[in-house]
Amino acid sequence: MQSSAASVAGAASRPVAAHGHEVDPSDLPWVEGHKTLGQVTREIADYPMGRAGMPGAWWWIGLAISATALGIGGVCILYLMFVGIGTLGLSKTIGWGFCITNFVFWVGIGHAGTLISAILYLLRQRWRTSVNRSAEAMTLIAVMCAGLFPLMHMGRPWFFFFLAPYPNTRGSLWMNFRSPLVWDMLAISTYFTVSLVFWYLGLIPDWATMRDRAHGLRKRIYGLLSFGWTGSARHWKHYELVYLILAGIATPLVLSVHSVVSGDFATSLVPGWHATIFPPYFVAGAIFSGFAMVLTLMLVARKTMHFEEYITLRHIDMMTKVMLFTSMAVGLAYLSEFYIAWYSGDRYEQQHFLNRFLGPYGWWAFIMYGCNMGIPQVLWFKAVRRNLLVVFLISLTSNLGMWFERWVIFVSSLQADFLPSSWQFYHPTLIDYGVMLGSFGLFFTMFLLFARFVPMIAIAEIKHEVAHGDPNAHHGEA
Amino acid sequence: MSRRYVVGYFEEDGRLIRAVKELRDQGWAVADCFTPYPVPGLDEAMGLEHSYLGWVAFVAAMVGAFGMLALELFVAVYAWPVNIGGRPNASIPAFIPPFFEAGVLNCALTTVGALLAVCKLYPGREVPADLPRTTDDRFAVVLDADQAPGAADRITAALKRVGALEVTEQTPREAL
Amino acid sequence: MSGPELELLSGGQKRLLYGLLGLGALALGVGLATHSGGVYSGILLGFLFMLELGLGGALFLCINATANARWHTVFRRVPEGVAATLPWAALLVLLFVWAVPHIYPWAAPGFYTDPSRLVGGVLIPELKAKEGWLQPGWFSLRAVLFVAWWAGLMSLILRLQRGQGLGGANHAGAIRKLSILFCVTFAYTFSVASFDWLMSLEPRFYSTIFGVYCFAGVMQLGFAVVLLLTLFLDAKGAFKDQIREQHRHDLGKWLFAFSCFWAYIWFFQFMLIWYADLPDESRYYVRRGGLRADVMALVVLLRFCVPFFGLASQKVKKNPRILAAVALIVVAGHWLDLALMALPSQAGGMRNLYALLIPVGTGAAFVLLFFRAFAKKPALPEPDAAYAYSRRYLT
Repeated sequence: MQSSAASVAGAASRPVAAHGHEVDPSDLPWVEGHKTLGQVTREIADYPMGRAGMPGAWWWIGLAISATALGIGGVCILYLMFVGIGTLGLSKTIGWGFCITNFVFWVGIGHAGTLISAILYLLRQRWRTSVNRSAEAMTLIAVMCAGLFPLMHMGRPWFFFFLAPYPNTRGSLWMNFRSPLVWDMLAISTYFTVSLVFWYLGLIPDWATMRDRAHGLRKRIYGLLSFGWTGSARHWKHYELVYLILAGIATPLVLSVHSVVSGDFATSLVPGWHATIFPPYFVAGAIFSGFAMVLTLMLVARKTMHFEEYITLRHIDMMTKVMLFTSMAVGLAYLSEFYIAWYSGDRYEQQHFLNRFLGPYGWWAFIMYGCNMGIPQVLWFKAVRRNLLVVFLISLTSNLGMWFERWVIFVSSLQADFLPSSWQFYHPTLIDYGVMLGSFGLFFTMFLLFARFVPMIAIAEIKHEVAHGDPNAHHGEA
Repeated sequence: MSRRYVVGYFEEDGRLIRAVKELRDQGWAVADCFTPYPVPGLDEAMGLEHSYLGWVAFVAAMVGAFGMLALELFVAVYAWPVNIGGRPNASIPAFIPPFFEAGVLNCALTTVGALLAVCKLYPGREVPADLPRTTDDRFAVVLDADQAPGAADRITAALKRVGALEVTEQTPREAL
Repeated sequence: MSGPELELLSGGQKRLLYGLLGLGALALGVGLATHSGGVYSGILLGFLFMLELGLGGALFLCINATANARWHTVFRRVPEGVAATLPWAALLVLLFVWAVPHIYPWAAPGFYTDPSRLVGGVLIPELKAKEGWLQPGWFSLRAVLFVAWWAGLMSLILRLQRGQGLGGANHAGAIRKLSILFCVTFAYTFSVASFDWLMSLEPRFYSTIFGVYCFAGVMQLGFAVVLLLTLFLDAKGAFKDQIREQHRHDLGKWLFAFSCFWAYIWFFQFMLIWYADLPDESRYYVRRGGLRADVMALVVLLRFCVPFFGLASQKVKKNPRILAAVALIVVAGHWLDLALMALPSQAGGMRNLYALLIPVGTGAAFVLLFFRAFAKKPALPEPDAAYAYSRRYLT
């Protein structure tokens, strides 16, 4: 694993080695239990190969619940298609409501996956190896969920291909490349494609591993999926470089995606939307909420699938630290916004922020600021970071807070803008709630299917970690 | 045309690397190695050249990005000029996000495509040789058994000397 | 100036540096004596340039300590030496504070009561909040407090760092905690400081990302300076050949990464302001030439295009000559960037020789102070447990 700089380390506990010197915690292997390579293969691949008591009862229960939610969402979407977007709580004042909130929420969730798979890879954070596969899967699924909303909001989603720049019989009627919505479409589709390619590239060696352990039809399927991978050193050479390149381009890509999404708002003149800090602010918030979702999923998965030795308390500790860091970054952006609203003397901006707190929906803002800036502060304490129940609860409140952040920014800005006579509220309809429920249903259904059929942990990558740990700590003959 | 190969299996990557170095020092040509994960330092031990796919990626990114910029200029200036908020038709700042995204997209797809092409990987490809457990927990080094008269036996002996757990002879479906 | 065992700077280099320092001092003296308008923005730039050089080193240390990183321990004396110049830069704040009334338009007497800024006898709302916030006394107090906090906290960290590993002492935990404190407080204080020192030069201009923009610049500058000085000292043999390809490669990667980050922030500030085109915001860029801005393009060229294309290939990131050249260009780009932020609203605009000569003088002072601090300690922090790791790390 050749790549970038800081040999950053993890965990806080400082065990003392036999000879009395303090061992730097980052030198310890990230996988516990002194596993052999064969054991790693078995423990991870047996789940998707149906040999480890999968699917268990919890899996079926989870699938039943999320598929029901997805079904409800599907019915709502059909109704929406047939009747039109008037069934949502939109009005002439608030033209974007639940849909845009959910869209940005889901895109944001996806960002943690790319941070883990690409940025932490470049930063040589070896702990990422235990979670990158599932985090990337989460990215893909979250982007699918996100994609639903603009599609439905089009009203006539079957004309979605009008968004593509191609010579057509309508004029040719080309799209307006100056529109942030067009950037959005390009950014999200690029993001999905690149994430998919990156994820699948990581999977190829693992499919080969499973192919070589399977028989009959399974062997054929895994054989097709593995593209005939053999583990040849000549292939690994190219593979590693391509992996590095993909990590290198996914890093600016993930920054660009939420920056472009933030551009949907920041390029406008609506008070509360037009702030130049939006791009990095959205990216930080996205990573914050994404890590919260990774923690929510991983805390459940490590327990139910017995991955405690792969996803250890030290992994959880690292992820909570990233959450704390991004929460601080988001906090800095919040404060910069308040400061500039006050400093600039822009009356509309000031009115907006007063309305945000003191207006009819002030409690939204308190959830937003409380969950994103307040509650995560307890993560400064190690005892909290090691308490899984508390971490789990914080991961939930952070997601709640981040959903409300988008809601507050988008809706409270539109709700009371320049002209008091057009001030209005957004009253979500049952369809609004139903579609949102459906997106959560889709997310969890897909994730459960992923956990059932795809190796949850990158087998080839984790083997390197198991065999070597920190390549710098004991720089042997290798 | 099928060739004969001597295959030595190891249980640790460190031993594999030492074996590769030693065999090469003795003048044997190493055809390939098969490992469950990329072994750091194996490239140098085998004397492989650095992968050239970095250049493919760079060129693909430039082509994607500047291709998109050309499309944007064509559309906004020539094919469909519309005055939007008084902005110039060639609004370069607004063209940067698509410029960037297209560069990334083309870079990713082309580079991965090139990887698959260079390694001749595709769905349905038959694995050329059966090397048990090399995608699981064993490391194999593969040498041409007929690279010199009587090479097979001498390579086998050399492999045993450097600690191979198992040495076999194989005639794979295609050359490795 | 010379270390006990090693002449770090040749006689010619020392003479050159003292000459440049003298030139800066001479320019300052002439400017003040002739009451030239441009000298005050020269003082601002000289102060900021030297301060940010030191802050770059401080951030380098603190970010690495926060992350428990050990890869840089071999050349850690370099960022330590850079950060050790902070107290001297902090002294310059006194000169800056003295010059505040001459630099900032809002500090001129009668600014807030000028009839052109009143509507119906009341100050226009755009300036209302600033009346209490942007006034010389409170502004200067903030500046002094910020600089004192950064320099003070950094001195404490450096003191602990110096004793690290000596006689079995291990301050790693304390250093890390203080570094985290530095990073967190720096993010907030530096945002306010950049709003104050640079953004308020044009009192009606505002941009929420401005603090992040300045921060990104300092990060890039810090990595460039550390890289440049490390390579220079290594060429002199100060590190006894312990700086390996891996160290250079990683330094190059960081410089590359932060150049991209800077460009990202630069682009979005520019694009969003250009796009929304609000008068108070876009006037800032209009004054800097709008879309046809040659100096702005030059800043982007020096700070982004050169490091991006120059360091894209892996091979180049290990080549000390090219790395050093790129780092030097980035440092020059940082000065130009500061000048472009500060000068266009000032008397004389960009054609201001003081704004070049005074920062050159403080820059030379920075280099001299760095070598003084560096020579005081052994170049390699051998007693530190992390040293062994850094000496042999691979990736």
